[in-house]
Amino acid sequence: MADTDRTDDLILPVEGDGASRRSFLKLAGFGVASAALAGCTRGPTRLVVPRPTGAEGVVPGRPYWIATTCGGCEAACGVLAKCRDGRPIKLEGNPQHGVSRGGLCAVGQASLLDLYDGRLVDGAQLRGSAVEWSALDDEMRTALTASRGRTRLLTRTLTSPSTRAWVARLEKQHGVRHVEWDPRSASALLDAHKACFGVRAVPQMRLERARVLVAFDADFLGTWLSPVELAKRYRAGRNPDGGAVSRHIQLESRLSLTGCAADERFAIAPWEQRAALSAICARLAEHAGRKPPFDLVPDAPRPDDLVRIADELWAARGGGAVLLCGSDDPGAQGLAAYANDLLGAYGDDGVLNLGARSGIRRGDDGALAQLVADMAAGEVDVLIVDGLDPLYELPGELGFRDAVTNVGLVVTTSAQPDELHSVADAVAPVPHALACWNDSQQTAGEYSLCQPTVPALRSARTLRASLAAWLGDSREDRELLRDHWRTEIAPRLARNVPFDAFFDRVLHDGFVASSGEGVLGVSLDAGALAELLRTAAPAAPAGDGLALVLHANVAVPEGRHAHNPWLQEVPDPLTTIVWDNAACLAPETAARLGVKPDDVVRVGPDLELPVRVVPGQDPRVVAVALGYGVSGTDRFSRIGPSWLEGRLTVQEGGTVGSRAAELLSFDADGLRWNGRAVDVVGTGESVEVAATQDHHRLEVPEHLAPKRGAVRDAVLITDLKTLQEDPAHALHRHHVPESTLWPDDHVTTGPRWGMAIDLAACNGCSGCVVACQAENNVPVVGKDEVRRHREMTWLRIDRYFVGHGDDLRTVHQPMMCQHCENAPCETVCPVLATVHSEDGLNQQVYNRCVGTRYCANNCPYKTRRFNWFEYERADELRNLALNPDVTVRSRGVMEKCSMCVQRIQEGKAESSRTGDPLADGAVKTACQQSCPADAIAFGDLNDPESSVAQLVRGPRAYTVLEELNVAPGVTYLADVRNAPKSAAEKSHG
Amino acid sequence: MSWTAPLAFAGCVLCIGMGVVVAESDVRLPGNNQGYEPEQPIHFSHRVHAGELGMDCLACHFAAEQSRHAGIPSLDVCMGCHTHVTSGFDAVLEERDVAKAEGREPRRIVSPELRKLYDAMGLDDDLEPIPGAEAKPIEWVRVHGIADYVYFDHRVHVARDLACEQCHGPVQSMERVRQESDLSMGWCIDCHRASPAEPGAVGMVGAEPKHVSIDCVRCHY
Repeated sequence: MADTDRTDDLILPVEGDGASRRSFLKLAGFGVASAALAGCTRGPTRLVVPRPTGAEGVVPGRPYWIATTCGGCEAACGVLAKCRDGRPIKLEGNPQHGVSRGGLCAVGQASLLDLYDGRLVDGAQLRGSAVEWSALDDEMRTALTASRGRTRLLTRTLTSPSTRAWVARLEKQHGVRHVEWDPRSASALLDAHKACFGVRAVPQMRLERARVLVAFDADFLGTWLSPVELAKRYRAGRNPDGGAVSRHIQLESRLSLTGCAADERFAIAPWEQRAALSAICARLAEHAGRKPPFDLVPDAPRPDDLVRIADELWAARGGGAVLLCGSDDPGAQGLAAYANDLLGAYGDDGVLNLGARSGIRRGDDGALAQLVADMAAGEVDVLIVDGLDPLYELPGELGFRDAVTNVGLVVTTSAQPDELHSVADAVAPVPHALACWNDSQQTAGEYSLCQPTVPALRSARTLRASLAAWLGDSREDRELLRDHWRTEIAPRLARNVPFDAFFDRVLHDGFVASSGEGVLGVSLDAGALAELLRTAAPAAPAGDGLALVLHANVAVPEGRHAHNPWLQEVPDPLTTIVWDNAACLAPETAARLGVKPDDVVRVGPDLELPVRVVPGQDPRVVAVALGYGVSGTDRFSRIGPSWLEGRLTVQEGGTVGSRAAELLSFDADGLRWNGRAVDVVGTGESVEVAATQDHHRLEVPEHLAPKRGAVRDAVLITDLKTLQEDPAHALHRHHVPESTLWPDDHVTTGPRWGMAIDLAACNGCSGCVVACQAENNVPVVGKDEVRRHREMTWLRIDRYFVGHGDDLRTVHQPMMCQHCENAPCETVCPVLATVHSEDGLNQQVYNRCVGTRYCANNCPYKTRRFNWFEYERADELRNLALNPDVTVRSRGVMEKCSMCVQRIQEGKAESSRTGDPLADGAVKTACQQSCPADAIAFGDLNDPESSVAQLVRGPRAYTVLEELNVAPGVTYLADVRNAPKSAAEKSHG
Repeated sequence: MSWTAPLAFAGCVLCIGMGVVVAESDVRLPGNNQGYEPEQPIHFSHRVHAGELGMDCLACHFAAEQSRHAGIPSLDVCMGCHTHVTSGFDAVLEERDVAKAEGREPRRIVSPELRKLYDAMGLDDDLEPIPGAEAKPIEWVRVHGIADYVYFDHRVHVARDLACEQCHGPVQSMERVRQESDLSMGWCIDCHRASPAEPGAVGMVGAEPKHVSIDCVRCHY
């Protein structure tokens, strides 16, 4: 293995100002330094370097946890940063956090790696050269004073209340105007609420209360608003094993992760949304005995289904019914607000709560358009941009690129050298969320705190500290934050507690919530609603044209995530593509255009993309993911192994994927993601896209199958009615041979570790995939290696399409080593490098493995990964993210899921230290911990009371490829669909 | 070094050919550091601390109870005593006699080895912090090192009341710490499998037979 020492004895101060990035690296280097050889038979001299002074509660080799807040997106989920030796090595969801409740998505998991990105700007820059912060501050103070009223601050939604306070001061003192805008804009939703109810806010969505949930283009389990929170809440309302199960109906143009989870799903085109919503509204109004205050939109698709949906909603009204709309069309949003109002969704017991409105989206498309117009008119002297790269995120037709040349001083706070850097006069880089003080307000009464987990790795300053410095307040950032909490937040939330105790408590918990926010009584303004419907509606494209649907991917939702190699290598859960975006077409559309997967098509004037065929998508649209084509991503061109036949992941000077933002359109009502008419034409070329779709298939190819029908499906689906009425026959089970060639010699006396994965809960978000990668030091291999089926992920998400048309069901199945009792891999290993442990684990012993790969050949689940190369570990800064508790594997060694055995051993060791028996749930695997839907259970199968043992006994439990009789330790729980009453009979198992 | 590799290879072939068993001799297998006794940056005597003064191992290596690693104590742990004890007892007595003869107060004697500690801590002769001086870590040489793919856990062994000497040898008599055992896997397993005939590994912890795992993933992951 690698000839380096672990750095376990190196402990560095967590807080403190003295440590520079250089000194940190120097100290970190000591740990891995190996000096001269001390003779032939001796290994290299290794050093142990304890920190000069101990830190309270920090013991060498023992992890400690810091509660803080994720900086991956505005949702600001609570995380516990697992730290070793003065640096975070893994992020886990904070189970006590009131919003995210322990879940963490792929972006959040991967945000750890961004902390160790060596390419970020270090220190202030002025006109291209590095300067002292004081020089920048002087320049800014002069500019702000001189340009009173002619300064604009452009940010994404600022969720930090303390930063907002400083923005308010800046506005007051220098007449600065603050513009908020979000690349994943919810402007239409906000505008519609402003018009209808007078509150420009996203309501809090208490999805756990929903009994009937209808969603229009709202990918709330994938990328919409706060997916972890919404997935937690959604799952709380869906418990097929005895609890209530909501009815979820999704109407959308492309296939989203939320659509995959829906009980019923209809593909409708973007321009049909208003008509469909209007039909539902009309039916609801009919039930309510009211007349809709607007003219109905004609030509609704599938009128019968819409009436049925409206009837279902009406039956659950007054708290159990909600209609979510993720559309960018203010008219559609207005109709959704009207429907929710009729359904009583805004009431006391309703799903939507405008009293505890969400603070994570405030962006205003109109204000952005006004800003660009002001810039073009020469009315802006100073432009400060935070968290955005408008040159990348905005389409050229908005004219930002030209307008910005009229601005005297452009300041960006982005630490990643992005496109705005090329026109910026000054750079005031912000630190990573794990290396700074910050706060976040999720709803009116919920606050999170963010604290440093590592000494500053580079010179950076939060926006709050920069604004304060420019206003002449040079206090430390922590003091600025504390000051705001002392004067503004503590008086409301900590009435009888001294401030220091209150602040320390919040710092410890990472989160504080006031008890009970009132529900805001709202009444709908009918006139404003009618006005909303007079805005331009999306139109159907003329002739053979397709409507473009731009969307965010789960792994790389925005351009700012494109510099993270972990995220780039997460296969998109639907297309299974890595390191690329694609033009997704319905099968019939692809056939009509005469293109097949991997063919390159031109979408619009000049966007060239490879084709992916996605069933379930509306045949009249083409779906393209934003977030790709970010300049500077050619830094990954040589990621992965370099060898004779190796190909670059990205061409030098190129980008990962292609930038689709150019096709966003801006009209009077805001930014449009959907509905732009585009021509899609084949270019005649084709490329080899790296997609994991056909890798590691479990199905036996038809020509090899012993007998048709002898091979069962890997995923099973049942419907709720059957499950409740006749649980014994809910699943179509296969005959499992009773006799076996394997001796019954794996007797476990202590625990037997096992896992249960609920396919009804899993929505394919891929948070577990990144969690596993981070926990187990899984290398990034690059696009070419993935193309060669050599991805290294221990945990993959298999995606199965079952059925066709409206009956199409998409099931995501996390697949990892099944830890079989009768493991086929174990019998073929010639060197006993993979053997069974006494607690039911299939062990992989790296130091024994000689790399015959027989085991991988013999694994029916295809979950073993071979180290074809010594994967790149040259970036010493990135190596700080490695988990010191897991061996970094070297070339020629097989590896696979270990069920996080390092965590099991840690749990056992702690139990032996404290003398307390290992409780159920005390050991959580990385994938289980991260899952926002709580789909994964892990524990002792020998303990009949453990949660996993109970699940395994349940009616939905089955094992994949049961007929092979390999007795897997991983059990799956069949997917459950709450089918409409009429369709329950024809559902298939 | 180019000629040593083939020579070593030839040597190995010769050994195997002659049926020489490599054991209990000066010849060690690669990776076996038994007897390793490197010089340390500070001449710290375990003989004095653990032997003469009878200090408990866990007094300084407190991490062994709570962590995989026994841990080398940070310098402020040393300072707990060495704020007051700045030199060996003999030197203090000698200074006292000299001072008595010269009719003055005895001066503080700082031994050259402890001077290194104070330098690292950034302290002057009166043990006051030197302005501007930062505490620097001391680079000790690791004596007991195992391969990267082995995860030994001190806390489990301490919790089961294994004496430190059982693996580390008579440290209380070592002036400079020496690797007593060979720390090979076979040596670990011998203990974990006190009775090799018995399947399922029952080791002796003290006088008690206890279930001790010999699973590969007990140490390798």
